[in-house]
Amino acid sequence: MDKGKAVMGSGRRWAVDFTDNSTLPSSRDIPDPPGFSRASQEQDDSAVAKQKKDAEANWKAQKAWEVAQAPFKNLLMMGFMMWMAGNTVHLFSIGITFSALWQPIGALQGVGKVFEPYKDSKVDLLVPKLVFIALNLGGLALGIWKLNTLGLLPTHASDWVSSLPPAKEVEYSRGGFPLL
Amino acid sequence: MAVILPSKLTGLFAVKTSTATAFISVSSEGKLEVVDKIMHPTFISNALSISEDQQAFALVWHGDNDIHLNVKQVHDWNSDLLKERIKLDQQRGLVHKVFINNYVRTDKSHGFRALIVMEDHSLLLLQQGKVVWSREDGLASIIGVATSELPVEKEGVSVAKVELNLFEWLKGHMLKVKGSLMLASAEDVAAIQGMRLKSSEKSKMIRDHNGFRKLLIVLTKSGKLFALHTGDGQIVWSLLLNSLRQTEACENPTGINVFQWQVPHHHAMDENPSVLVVGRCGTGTDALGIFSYIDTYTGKELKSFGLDHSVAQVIPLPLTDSTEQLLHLLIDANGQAHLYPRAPEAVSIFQRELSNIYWYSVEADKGLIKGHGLKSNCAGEVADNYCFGTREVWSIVFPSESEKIISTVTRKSNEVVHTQAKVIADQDVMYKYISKNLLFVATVSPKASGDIGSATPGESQLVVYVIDTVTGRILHRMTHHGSQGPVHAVFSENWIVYHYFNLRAHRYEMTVIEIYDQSRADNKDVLKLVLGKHNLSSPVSSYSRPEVTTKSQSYYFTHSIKAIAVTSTAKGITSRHLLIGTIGDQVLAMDKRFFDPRRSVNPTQSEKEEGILPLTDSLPIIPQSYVTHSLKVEGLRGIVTVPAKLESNTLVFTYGVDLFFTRLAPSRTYDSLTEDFSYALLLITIVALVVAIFVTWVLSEKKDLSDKWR
Repeated sequence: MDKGKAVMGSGRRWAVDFTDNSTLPSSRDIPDPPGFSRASQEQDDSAVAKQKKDAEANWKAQKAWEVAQAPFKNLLMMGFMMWMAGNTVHLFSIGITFSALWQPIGALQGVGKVFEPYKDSKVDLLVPKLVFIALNLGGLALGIWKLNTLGLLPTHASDWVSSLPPAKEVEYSRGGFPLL
Repeated sequence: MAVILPSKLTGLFAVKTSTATAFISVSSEGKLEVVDKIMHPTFISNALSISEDQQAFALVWHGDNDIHLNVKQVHDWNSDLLKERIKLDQQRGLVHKVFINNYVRTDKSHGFRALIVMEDHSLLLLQQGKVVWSREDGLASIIGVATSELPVEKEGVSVAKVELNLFEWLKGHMLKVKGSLMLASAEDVAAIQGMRLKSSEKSKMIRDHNGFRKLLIVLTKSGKLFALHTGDGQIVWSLLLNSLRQTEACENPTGINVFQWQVPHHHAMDENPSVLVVGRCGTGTDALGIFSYIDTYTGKELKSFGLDHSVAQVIPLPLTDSTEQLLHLLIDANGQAHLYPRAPEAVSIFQRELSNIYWYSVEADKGLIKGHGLKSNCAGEVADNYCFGTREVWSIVFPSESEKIISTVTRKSNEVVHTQAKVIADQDVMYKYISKNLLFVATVSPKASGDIGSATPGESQLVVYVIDTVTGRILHRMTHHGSQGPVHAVFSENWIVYHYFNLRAHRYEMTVIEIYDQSRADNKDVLKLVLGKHNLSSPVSSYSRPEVTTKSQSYYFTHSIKAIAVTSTAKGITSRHLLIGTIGDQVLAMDKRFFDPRRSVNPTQSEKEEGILPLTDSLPIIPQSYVTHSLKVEGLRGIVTVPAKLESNTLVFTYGVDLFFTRLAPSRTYDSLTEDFSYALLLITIVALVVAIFVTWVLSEKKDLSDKWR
């Protein structure tokens, strides 16, 4: 109480600041509890930093992998919704198909932005990025396949042939009954 | 040469010579006495008894441009009961028949009126020196129809015959106000109606954007040409062709048909289209021909001349010369072909295509169909550049004991087909065999060629053929046992629909035959089609003998029919309706989907999606699909369809004794907005939405700003 430092300037005489970063046990205002040692804080600075960085890197790699695999769930959900939409061309099925096509494209455009927070010199982001891109391409392929099932892609012969004009004939022949 | 004119007058008869007509009376003792001689061609009417012992008759003869009408008593030549001179307004030719009728005037004397039938088959009623009414009854005997476009609207030229100045417009407006306030008298109502008709859109004399206003040029049996306006049927001009009138050279001229001659596209602003009328000097097929060109805007004859050969066939060629005249080939009775117009340029254009032009002749009495090619010059003494000989290429002989040709039909030359592929269920493709050189022939056994029921089902059969007229190849043949004619058929695109009588089932039947090209069926590789490595658009020759398959189906039909035609549109995209002219003088429009050989009793899901109707054994006649509504086209003889410029519409003209014209939209008007589309509402909606967008944008900006300041 008496030994507590009064925090000047805030006008509170009874506030005690418990943070004490001094290392020597004797220079502390409050003695340590018996059996407590501060040896863990007495490590090397670089080791601490290195460990911190490692932990951060690991955490970042883990997060990156999670983000890379996030489209997979999206894929499953989209697949289910497309199956629900059916084979006919209605507002719902068109809307689902186009959103299934647009989402992967949007995600592919923002790959860099997605992986921005996890950028680190020690973390290899290439593989998660590739996985991310691959999964999004898979989502795109699913959308295109759905488009095909709806019949909107010109993959059949009838799509290319139905606009052909009739072929010209080389010969010309007319006649009939003698005119009365 | 003197001829006694037929008459029913007692004691008087007329003898006509080449210079005059002499009237000779016969007295009771048997003495003949010349009563009068008239130097003009005269016609006498029937005898009308005006009192117990008096008979009157009428004499009509032609003056310079008017008609002299005399009514005389039979026994008293010198007393004239009536003497009138009537002016005719247009060229109607000579008088053919006269009939008189009398009426009693207020002062108890007799007045006479005369009904005369003119050379152009028109009727006139003459009374008191005037033509009271006239009727163009030549229109009841139309033998040929051609169409012509109306003039293009020219800047600064007023096409309307009457330019309304301000005073006239004010007067018209006052009349209309009176009419709407119910204060108009009967004359005012008639005047208002007349004004409305004159200024309505559909009877304008210029071309319209949709191609609905056209001129129908019709040739009648009397040799008179009429131009009918499709908007309201008015006669724009009429012309009695001098070349088809009876003269010493041509005793009995008849018109054969009217064809389009010059159709200016590039020079549409300065040149008028013209039509060609082909006639012949007599009734036999070896009578010399007559040509006549008529300008369709002015109705004047441009040129006419007699031909030095007969006319057995007229073949319009798909070639035009630099003045946009269509080349025509006339085949005479000896099988020589003559090219018209007789110009060196036409010959050079024709020589390039000479080896690809063929013609065929159908001789029903001999049971022969012969195909001919053209040689480069004629076999004749006189060297004629425009004459080409023919050589026989193929012939088909029908066995005369069992088959007699009764009907042939081909595709229309100006028909447009949109695609050559037909997409069926499951996105599969069938290729249509579209060839304009096909001929459909129907033959019956000779015993059954009479009326229906003149033969037993066992001895009558109907055989139909589809023949390629370039090579003579029979593509398809089908036999209907126990059936007979008359056969009415229509051939369009790749299908034929024909109507006949089934003696076994005692009903009329209609059969459809569709022809598909089997040799193109392998073109199903998508990659090749995308890259364009296919030969589907390359020109096709009949000599390559492509393999064809046909599908056919028959249905019962309750009516007997007089004529059958198919709708035609500018690009061939709209679905087709068959126009059936029934025995009840009405026109029924049946969708082609009823005549689909792929119809089955239980269609699959994909077939239902394609639109194939389930198969029924007879064709349903839906009362709403009568094009003629509640009207009858009396004495229906022919149906002509003309494409309009707007793709969804087609124009239909039916003729017989009555004339009927209408505009059909077989797939409903899918390419134009409805007439009562409210553009105002659309505009208001767009403006309101733009304002709403702006207002909400401003509001949201304000909200964002206030949020940032919180």
